[in-house]
Amino acid sequence: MDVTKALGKTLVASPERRLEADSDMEIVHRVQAGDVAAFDRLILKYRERVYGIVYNLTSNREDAADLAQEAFIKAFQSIHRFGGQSSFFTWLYRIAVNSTLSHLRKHRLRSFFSLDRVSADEPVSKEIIAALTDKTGADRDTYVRELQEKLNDALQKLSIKHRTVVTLFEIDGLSHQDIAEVMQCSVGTVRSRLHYAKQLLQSELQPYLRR
Amino acid sequence: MNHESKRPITVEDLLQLKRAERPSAEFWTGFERDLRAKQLAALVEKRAWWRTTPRIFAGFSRYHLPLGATAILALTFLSVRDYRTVTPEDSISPAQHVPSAPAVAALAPVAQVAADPLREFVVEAPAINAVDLASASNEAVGNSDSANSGRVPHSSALFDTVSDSAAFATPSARTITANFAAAQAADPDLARRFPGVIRGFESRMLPARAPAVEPLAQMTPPSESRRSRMTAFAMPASYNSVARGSEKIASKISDDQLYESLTASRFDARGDRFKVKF
Repeated sequence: MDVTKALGKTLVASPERRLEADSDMEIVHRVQAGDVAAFDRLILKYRERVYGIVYNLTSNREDAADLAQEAFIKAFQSIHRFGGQSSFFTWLYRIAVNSTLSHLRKHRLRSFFSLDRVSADEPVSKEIIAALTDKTGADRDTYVRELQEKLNDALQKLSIKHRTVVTLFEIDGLSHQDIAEVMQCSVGTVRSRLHYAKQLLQSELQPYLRR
Repeated sequence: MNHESKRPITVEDLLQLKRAERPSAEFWTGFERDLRAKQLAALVEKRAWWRTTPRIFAGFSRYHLPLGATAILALTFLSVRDYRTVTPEDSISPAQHVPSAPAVAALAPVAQVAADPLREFVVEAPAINAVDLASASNEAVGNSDSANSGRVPHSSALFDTVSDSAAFATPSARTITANFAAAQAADPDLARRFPGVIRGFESRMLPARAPAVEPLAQMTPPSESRRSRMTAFAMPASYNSVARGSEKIASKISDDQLYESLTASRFDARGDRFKVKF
């Protein structure tokens, strides 16, 4: 079983990912040896991605900031226990996702949006917005805002597990294997959840879709 | 929306927009400042004692087994020593454990406080041998039998009571018991004046306790109350004479059977009718 997992990881992991993992591991060793300042490099490297995953799960920027900081603190406090069984990135993601999931379960009834602005400068978003509407100026901003709220609303209607899979795969770009490691489930479960979540999102966002 | 001559939009495309939701640069400044403060707080935070204790005892890991075994042995020894049961030999009977003369003399100050006649007796006590005391005590009982048959039962009963209670009395009570035995042996007339004093002392030393009553024993078991409710429901109050017989029957059948019989009588289905009795 372990051999299969290791083989799968080796096949899936790209050379860049392996290089990145080695670099992280070197920093981790330094922190474990007592060089506390070296942890700042890990923070700088992963803060946006950690914040992004938490933000996309909560749809609340204040909660996301607190939870991302909490994840870094937890990782810092227990870095001496990190033995390198997985990459530091996966380990940090797991901490962040678990903290967020427990936060969401605790505050299941209290959920309100506090959204960041959609950056219209990015080529991908610019293209999608242009494809969706011909409006310009203030009208376009209003439309994007409305679409953003609808999108976040649809995501929040998903169960926590389905939302996590969709966020990790579609927004953060993790592979099925990585998501399975982060969520500690099988790849088949990840695929199944992803399929089901997309079906639900499709029905929720029908007015904005075009075939 | 202008959908003509536009490429198809899928769920994946819409989710791409989420990637473009990014905080401003000022946000990261605040984020870093807060994180730094939290990190410092985590560094200087005093660890709880239950987290540091395992590290302290980690050096003793190889001594865990012998230390544990020694602790168990010590606890066993202490508990056996402290909670040893009172054997019949431990109880004091005046005929067998009359204190020796030096012991009586040593206890004289205690007796002096009790009563003057006793003080007179105690002063003379060093001359009395323990064996003589025991025999004299028996003689005194015999004399009392022949001379004062009316008073003797009371005195001997009191003596028995005192000797019985000596098994669990305090050392001072034992001493007083011994003194009383010695005094009775030496001077039966003087001893006749003691019972009141002794009795009063006994009542002060060992206050009569109300017999212990188990609180749970006074409670009616829930099954009994439930049974009585169900029986009362089943049998009308007018059927007093029948009720006793029914109670006997109800006490013999189990709760489940009784409940089933009640529900069976409450619900009645005949043909196309279903009746429920309230």
